Amino acid sequence: MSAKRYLAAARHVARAFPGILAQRGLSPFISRLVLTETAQGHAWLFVVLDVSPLQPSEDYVAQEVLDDLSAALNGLPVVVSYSYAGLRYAVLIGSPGVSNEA
Amino acid sequence: MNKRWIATVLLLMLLVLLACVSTTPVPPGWFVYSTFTPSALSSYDQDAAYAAAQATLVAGQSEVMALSHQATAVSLSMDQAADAAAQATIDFDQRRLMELSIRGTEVSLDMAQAAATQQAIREQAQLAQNATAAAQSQAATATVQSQAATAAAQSQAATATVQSQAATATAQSQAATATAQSRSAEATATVAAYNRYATETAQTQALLAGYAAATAQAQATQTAYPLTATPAAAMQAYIQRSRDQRERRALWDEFVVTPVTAILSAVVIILLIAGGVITFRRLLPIVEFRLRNPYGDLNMPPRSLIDGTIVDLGPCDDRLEQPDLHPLNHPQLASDETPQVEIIDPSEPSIISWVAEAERKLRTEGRTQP
Repeated sequence: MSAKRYLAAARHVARAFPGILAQRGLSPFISRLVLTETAQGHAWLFVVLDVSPLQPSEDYVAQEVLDDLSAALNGLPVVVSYSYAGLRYAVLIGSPGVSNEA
Repeated sequence: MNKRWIATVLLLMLLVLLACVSTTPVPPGWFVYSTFTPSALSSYDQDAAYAAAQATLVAGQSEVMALSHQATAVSLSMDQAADAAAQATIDFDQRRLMELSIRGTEVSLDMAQAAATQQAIREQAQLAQNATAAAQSQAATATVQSQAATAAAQSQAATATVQSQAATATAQSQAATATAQSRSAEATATVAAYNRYATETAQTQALLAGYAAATAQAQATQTAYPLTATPAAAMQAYIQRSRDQRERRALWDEFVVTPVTAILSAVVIILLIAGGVITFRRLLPIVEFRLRNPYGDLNMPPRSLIDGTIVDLGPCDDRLEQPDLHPLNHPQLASDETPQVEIIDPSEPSIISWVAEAERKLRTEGRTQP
């Protein structure tokens, strides 16, 4: 299966991300948007951030931020990771048997 | 070459005929004319016939020589015609050579008749000589008898009857002596004629030997003629060179030019096909893009090909309004900007770790995956 079918949803999520973070007073620099689909059929969108050193990264990993993001994205699961090349958000935008309407 | 051989054979046949005529009488039954048998001739007729035969021989020799010269000239003409590949000239010369051969045969037959006449005359002379010898012997016998009778008459001198007998014997003896003298004169004349005939035969043989020498010289000249630096020889050499060049050119064309041309043509065709295939494969993505985007702009910036997949750069309108796009690794995502999403295969090592960490986080937070 190709991940292209999630491309529209990924764009929508990516377009919504800066506004949601801006509501929390965060102005990240999004360096990459990576869409992939695992063998099990899970489609992940990774939003890689290039956080300014003047702004603490704890603000981005707060649970409230994650909940706001998930709520703004119609309940899509959102987690944050900061290993392997920096801070990034992972949004599960598609799973087997679930529509990808974001 | 065959025509020269035929001419040589004809000349040899002429020489053989002449040799047969000059050495031995022609055996009866060989030719129609060879059955000719001269009749018995008187002395005057013999001289005339012998003179006529001699004239025939001389005329025949001269004509044979002329014919030989003509045959030599015709043979040379045939060689030249053969060199020039003039078939008509060759046929004409062959016919002419055949006519000359026939004429030579006729002259040889005439000469054979003349030789037969001379042979008959010689036989008659031999008969006359034998008769003269017999007459001389009889005359001697008669003389002896007359002497004996004279002696008997002188010694006896008896009777007139004896004297008359002796006179009669003497008269007989005188008559016999006169007859013997006349026959002796005939024999002398015959011997002289025989000697003259032998002399003429020797002259004939000498002439024939000279003719043979001339013929041999003509043959030698004919053989050496093409080797001399004459225009005909030059033409023959030119023809030979042209033939050799044609043969070499034909061999070269057959074994070198034609195969090389075929091989080069095959190579060119193969290169053209390979070039067409390579060009088609190179242009296939453009054709495919044009088929999928019939109104697309070819001057647009190239799309990013990531992991075998063309990354969608968003609507064309947005790109046209934004001439300088940011690189993928440094996106400045604005609110009105279309995000650039990379589609990456999950088997990438970094993506594998990212996915594993995200799933672990998701399970940790209690939001298990559906």
